[in-house]
Formats: sequence, C-alpha cells, structure tokens
Amino acid sequence: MSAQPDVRHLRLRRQLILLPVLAAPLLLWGCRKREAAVIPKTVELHIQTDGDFLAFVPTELTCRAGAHVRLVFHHAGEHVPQQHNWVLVMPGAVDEIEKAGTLAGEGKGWVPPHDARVLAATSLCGPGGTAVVEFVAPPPGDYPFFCSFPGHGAEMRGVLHVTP
Amino acid sequence: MKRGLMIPALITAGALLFGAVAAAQTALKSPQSIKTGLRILNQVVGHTGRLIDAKNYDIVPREQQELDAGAALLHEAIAGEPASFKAKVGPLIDEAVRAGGAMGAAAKAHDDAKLATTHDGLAAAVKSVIEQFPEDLRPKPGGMMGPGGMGPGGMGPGGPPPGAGPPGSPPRPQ
Repeated sequence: MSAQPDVRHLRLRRQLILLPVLAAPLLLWGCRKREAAVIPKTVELHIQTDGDFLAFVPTELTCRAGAHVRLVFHHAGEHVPQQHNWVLVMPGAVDEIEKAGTLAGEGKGWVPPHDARVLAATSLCGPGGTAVVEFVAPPPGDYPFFCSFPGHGAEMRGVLHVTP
Repeated sequence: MKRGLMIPALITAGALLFGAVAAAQTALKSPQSIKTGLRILNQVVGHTGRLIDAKNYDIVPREQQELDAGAALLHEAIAGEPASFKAKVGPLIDEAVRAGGAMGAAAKAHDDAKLATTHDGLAAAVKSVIEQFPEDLRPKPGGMMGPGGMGPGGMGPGGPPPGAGPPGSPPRPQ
C-alpha cells in the first residue's frame, strides 16, 4: 500500500518534467510567429522618371507600416540633361517643402536639411543615374512624394500608401 | 452581290480603310522621336512658366539646355522628311530655341517685364512648331502647360490653339 503514493509521485514528477520539455518548442514557435507579425520584412520599391518627362512611373507605391524600405529611384531620361530626386514628406507638406528646398539650394540637393516633415529623400540624379534611400515606413496613411528640383513638383509627384 | 458575300466584303473594305488611315497617320519617319521632342519643348514652356511665377529666375537660363535637347531631337527626327517640310519646320524649331535664349537673358537680368514678354514669345514659338505636326504626335492636352497651353496652368480653353485648323485635319509634310 505504501508503494502506491510513490508511483503516483513518480508519474507526477515525470509529467512535470515532460510538460516544459513539450511546451518549450511550442512556446518558441509561438514567439517566433508573433515576432514575424510585428516586424515586417524589408521591402524594395522601385520608381523611375517617365523617360525625359516630368513624371514618375509609377505614381503610387505601397508598403506596410514599420517596414524597412529600400527605395531605388532611376532617372530614365536620355535626351534632357536635367536632374531629379525623390522626396517623401508628411501629408500636406509638399508645397512648403518645395519652397524650403528651393531656399536650401542645389548644394543641399534642393531638400531642406533637418526638416522633420521630410521622411526620406534620394540624392539628385542625372539621366541614366540611380539613387537609393532606405527608411522605416511611417504609420499607416497616404504620404506624398515629389521631385524637389524647383518647378518639377507640380508635375512630378505621387503617393506612398502605407498600410497597417 | 449575294447576301453571304456582302458582310465579308464590308469587313474587308473597313479593314482596308482603317489601314489606309493608320498608314497616313504614321507618314512621318520618326513619329516617336517627334512626339518626344515636342513634349520636351512643351515641358520647357510649362516649367519655365512655373519658375517665373515663383520668381525663381536663376534656374530659368538652365532650361535652355532642355530646349536645345528637344530641338536637336526634332531636327534629327525630321532629317529624313522631304526638303520642303524641313525648310518649313526647321526655322520654326530654331526660332523656339532663340526665344528660349531671349527668355534666359531676361531671367539673368531679373527683368520682370521682359521675362513675361519673352516667355510669351517662347510659348508662341513652341506652339508654332507643335502645329506643324499631326494631331496624334502633339503633346496631349493635359500636358500642354504654360501660357498658350491647354492644360492645368495654361491659359488655353482646353481646345486646339487658335489657327491650328479644324480637328482631324492637321498639316502634313509636303
């Protein structure tokens, strides 16, 4: 009769040992899955000029909030020796940033330095050139982008759709 | 003619007519280059108009390079066209380049009044060039910027420029 509690005790101890052993991989897997959902992957976005014309192709881009974005901008012009860039700004800030960029001058790439409304900007690019900028996508919303070379922004603009 | 043959005959005639119209529209040897050249000239008019409006005079003279590039492309594109056409259009292209030079000089001098006049001169000169080409090669109305243009920012009503002739009957190279 006295052996009965020992066997039960042993079984209980074995179960207590097995439980974390079995649960650990599940727990780890669960954590990994949650981690993947929170931190989006790096995304590469491509955009270029419409040849020599004052337009971006495409005019709309999409990425997830918090994503690490690598944006590749290509100047697809062949004939006209003009420069372009790609500047992402806070909603409603295009006109003010364009003016501020003009005041900043060519030396600053026509982009106002240390302006929190500028979320990302490539360097200026000549025909055939490519520029890359990396940034973390802002919170969900529609963010305008444009070319800040004086006078180009009226035609060269588009929207980055940031999804949740 | 039997009824059974009538329909195929009509379809064939329609196809032939369509082919003839399409052939007439692509009569120029380098339509794509012409399209690009015209759009570049038109783009300069719009862009310089915006720069002048914003009193961004220092950039205006630089636009001459863009104008030169568009003009060079057009000269190259019409090189294979009949001599009479080149004799008519070539000087108009050169006039647009000269008008751009005058505007650049006015911008360097920061002469507001002269800048407005010379920009109007450039717009008129570019319009004269554009009008020499068939409708399907001209910049689209949405892209017609600046004074005399037909798009946003332009002063035109949205239709063809005065004196451009009735729609569908653009001037053709002789």
